Amino acid sequence: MAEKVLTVKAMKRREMWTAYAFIAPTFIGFFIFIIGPMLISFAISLFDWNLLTPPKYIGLGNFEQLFRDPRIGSVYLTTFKLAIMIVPTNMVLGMVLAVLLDRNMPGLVRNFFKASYFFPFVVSAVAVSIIWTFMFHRDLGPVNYYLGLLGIERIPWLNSSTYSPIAVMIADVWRNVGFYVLVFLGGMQAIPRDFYEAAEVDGASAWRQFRHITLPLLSPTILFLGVISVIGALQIFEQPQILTNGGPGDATRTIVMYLYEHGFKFFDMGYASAIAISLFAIILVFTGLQLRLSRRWVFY
Amino acid sequence: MKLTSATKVLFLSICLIIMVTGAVGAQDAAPTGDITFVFWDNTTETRAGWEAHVARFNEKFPDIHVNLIGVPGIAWSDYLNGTATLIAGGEQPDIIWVATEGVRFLVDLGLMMPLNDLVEQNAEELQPYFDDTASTLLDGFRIDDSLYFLPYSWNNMVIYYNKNMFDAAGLDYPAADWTRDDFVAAATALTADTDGDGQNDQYGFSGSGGPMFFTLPWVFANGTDIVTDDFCAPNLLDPGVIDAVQFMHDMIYEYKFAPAPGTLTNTEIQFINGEVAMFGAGRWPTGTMYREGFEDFDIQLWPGNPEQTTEFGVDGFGIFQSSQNVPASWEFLKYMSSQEVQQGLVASVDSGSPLGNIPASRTVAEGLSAFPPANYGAFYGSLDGNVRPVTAPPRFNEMESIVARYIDQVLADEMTVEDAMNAAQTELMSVISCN
Repeated sequence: MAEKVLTVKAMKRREMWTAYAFIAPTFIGFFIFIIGPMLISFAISLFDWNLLTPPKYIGLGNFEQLFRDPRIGSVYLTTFKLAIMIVPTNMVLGMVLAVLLDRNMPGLVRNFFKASYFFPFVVSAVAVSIIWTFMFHRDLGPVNYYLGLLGIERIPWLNSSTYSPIAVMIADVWRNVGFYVLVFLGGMQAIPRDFYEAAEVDGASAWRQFRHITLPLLSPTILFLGVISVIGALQIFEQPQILTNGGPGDATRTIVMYLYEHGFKFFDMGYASAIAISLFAIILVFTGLQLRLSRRWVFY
Repeated sequence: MKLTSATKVLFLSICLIIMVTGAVGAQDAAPTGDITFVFWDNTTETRAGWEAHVARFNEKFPDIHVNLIGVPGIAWSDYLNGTATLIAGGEQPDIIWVATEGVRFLVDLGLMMPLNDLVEQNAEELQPYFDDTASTLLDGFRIDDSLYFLPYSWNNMVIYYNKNMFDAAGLDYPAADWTRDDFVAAATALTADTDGDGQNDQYGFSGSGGPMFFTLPWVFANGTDIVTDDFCAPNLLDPGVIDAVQFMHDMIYEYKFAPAPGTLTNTEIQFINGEVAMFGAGRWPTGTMYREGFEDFDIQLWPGNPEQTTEFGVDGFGIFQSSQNVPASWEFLKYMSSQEVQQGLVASVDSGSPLGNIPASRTVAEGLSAFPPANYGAFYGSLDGNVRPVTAPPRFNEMESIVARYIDQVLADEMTVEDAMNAAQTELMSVISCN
């Protein structure tokens, strides 16, 4: 009996090590590429370092500078403004398109639309942004051309504080909405059809079915997309960097652009790291809030 | 064993001969070993050009192995950032190619080696180089009496004008001593709405805003600068600076001969196509003109207001303090600054097309006469008049970013010049300071 117990223990130990071996690559990658740089970034934030000469320890000096920096407030405000524009647009448009695709239609047609919506997502954000700089060109861009046919005057999409955030939002949504469509569609197709059939028998309209069946059962998907879209929107970089370079002024300058500017243009790695940590803290708060509030509306 | 006197004499003689020949041999020994050269890899031809120069250098110094590291970037500041990242990543280059914009930054950090001693040791050999290089260019690389780089090439800002468009409008070509008023008159006359849709589609001038190099000529023409001469304080509230920025704004919204930002796609091509009559640049567009077969253009010095001042920026080669092989680096640096290498700036060996910059050598620069523009003398000749180097304090990148951000808002007509310059002046206080 004792021998059998030992054998079971040994087998469990062996299984344990096998399990560790399987998850090791992920863990090692996570520590090297995520946790490691985060810790290094925190360490650098305590130094004054220009990349070229040895770093000087300055304690919390860079964090004090964060509170004295007259621009950081407006840059964060711009980031939040863009996030407020981008997140709901992606969510609502993604859901609407997913609902339209979640109907009876030939598989080929559905797959064609799915691929069409998803295609921009697999294209590099830089390439997409370069294309949109031509689309938004004031005199030669197709956007203003078609608006012109409607009698609308040429809009300086990329050189106006009013329009440039809209241009950034459009470029971002065009690229990312396909991902939302795909995830929403996956969530919708996981909802058992029986619920809808029962609702139809009871005479529920399409809207009531959507409101009382689809939405509640889709709430975990909405939460997932809500969390990752807020994180993504707060980290937006490529689109404003290429479309407007943050301008005019700071009209489209996001916090990651500001971080990049200090780190790799002004050679102030310490302050750039402090900005990164402030963004990390803000994202942590937002994500925590979303997860906490989700208890009230997410049905598992 | 006791040595005889004769043996002692023989032994001492042999030692003496070995010492003397050894010393002479050491003196004459050509430098050897590895060196690393960092360059701005900004065009498709750049690397091939440097490789060709290295090959020729190796004919003279076969035992020096030159590692080439090309750092890409759109502007000099990108290149400098890339180089800094490279060094932070553990690379230890020996030689760098750098322009005025990065000189103070590198020297103030103590990264560059003063070349005075090396120049003195090679005074005779280098005398022709110094005689043939404008002192203004050398001064751009001299800080507190120490020379840190040897000039290789440079650019000034001149006005390119399309002769066909001037002819069609019945205008005289710009004179060497033209003023801002002359410029406004010509640019206004050359602006037109050719298709009658109520919007100008032919512009008298293009090129406001953008990098510092394009903004400063208007400031310099007013006899002032955006920072004080000692780089200790910003100077954006100077009436001359305010007037220059106001003029840049007025070209678009008051005189309406310049396009609003974001209107044009490619100034050089639109210049060739007759959609832009004038634009400001250095020598670099001549390659495009040549490749497009366009010769009906010329250049003129920047218009004065009323005094003319030409902006210039120079680039050259320097040795890092951390270099582990100074003798080899110095030989390479001398070779790269030579007339032989600068000759490659006149025209591409492969395509025959004129290449980017103006050679630092006055003699080599004479070779520019082989290509348009006819008034090529406005390139090197400008150094004989009033010139100012591009304003480049140690924290150039931050200064450029701040000034450009506010000027962009002025040119987008979203901020008054006074408000923009006041705000920029306040922000620059922490960047331009000697405290």
